[in-house]
Amino acid sequence: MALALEDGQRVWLKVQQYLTTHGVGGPTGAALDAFRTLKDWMVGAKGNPQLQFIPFSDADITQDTGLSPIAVPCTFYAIYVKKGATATDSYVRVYNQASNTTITLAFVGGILAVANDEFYAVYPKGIKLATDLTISADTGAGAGAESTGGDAGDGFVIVGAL
Amino acid sequence: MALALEAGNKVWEKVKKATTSSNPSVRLQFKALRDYMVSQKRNPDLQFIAFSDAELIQATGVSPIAVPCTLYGVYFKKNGTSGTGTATDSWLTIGDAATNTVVATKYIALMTSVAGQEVVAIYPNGLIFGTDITLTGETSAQDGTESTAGDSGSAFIIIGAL
Repeated sequence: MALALEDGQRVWLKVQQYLTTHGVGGPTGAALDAFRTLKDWMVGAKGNPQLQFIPFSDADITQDTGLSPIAVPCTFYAIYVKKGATATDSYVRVYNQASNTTITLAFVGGILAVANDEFYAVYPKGIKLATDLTISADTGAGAGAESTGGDAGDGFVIVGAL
Repeated sequence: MALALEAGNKVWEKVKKATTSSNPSVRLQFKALRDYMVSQKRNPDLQFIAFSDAELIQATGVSPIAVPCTLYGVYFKKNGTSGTGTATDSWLTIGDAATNTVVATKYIALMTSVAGQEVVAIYPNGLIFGTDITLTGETSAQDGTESTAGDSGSAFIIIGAL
């Protein structure tokens, strides 16, 4: 595996398509506008860098040791996730490692607590994941105990080159 | 202490002022949240609370309200400017407890590693903190060890009633 960067405009189109077609009740207008404004800034002020759009399902991020889709370092810009229909807590985290086993390498994390909870986090200038990218939904504050698929959520991350 | 809610429009004005020198994408993401909450969430009363680095790294964290609340958005900017300042990792953690010592309820963790790095995290429909809300600048995602002030940064949150 490796990064599969493509023209930023294609990535932003995928983001728009995802956010306008996905999820129970769909994403909020706040999320739609947030990612549109991130696009506007990156296109207008960051030179429209090549990016990669990585969608994930709840099953993907609850697999054993998490989802590591690229197996190389990257720059992480944003995550969007929307919880399924349960009210069981699930902690969605982005790790800078090849698995979800080390909580000290969980660089970004947010809980999904209520059915259809929506969470997104954005680093406009990116944050370097110098080892790898792993996305995982865990049952608690500690790392590595994966949630059941139904308790996690679907979403995507946007990454670029280091 | 308690919640000190005020008209949403006053809070959004404070957010606008607080992000005047922030990354343009940050400003627009909060504008998107405002637009959504004003038009779709009936413009609820809210509270804007800003934090300095010294507050964030105080022993056991900073708990400004001592009552339950709903969190809608958080902004954090690491100290320094791009290329000048600390590059020591520091996490902004937000826990549902009166101190930063309760690992199990650290709902949000956002890492910064580069001077001046900015991050926004948003729950457009709100995240309930049923006990209290405590913010901390920590040396890891959940170890309860406060960073030095220089390695942390400044932040604000937008909260509302349960």
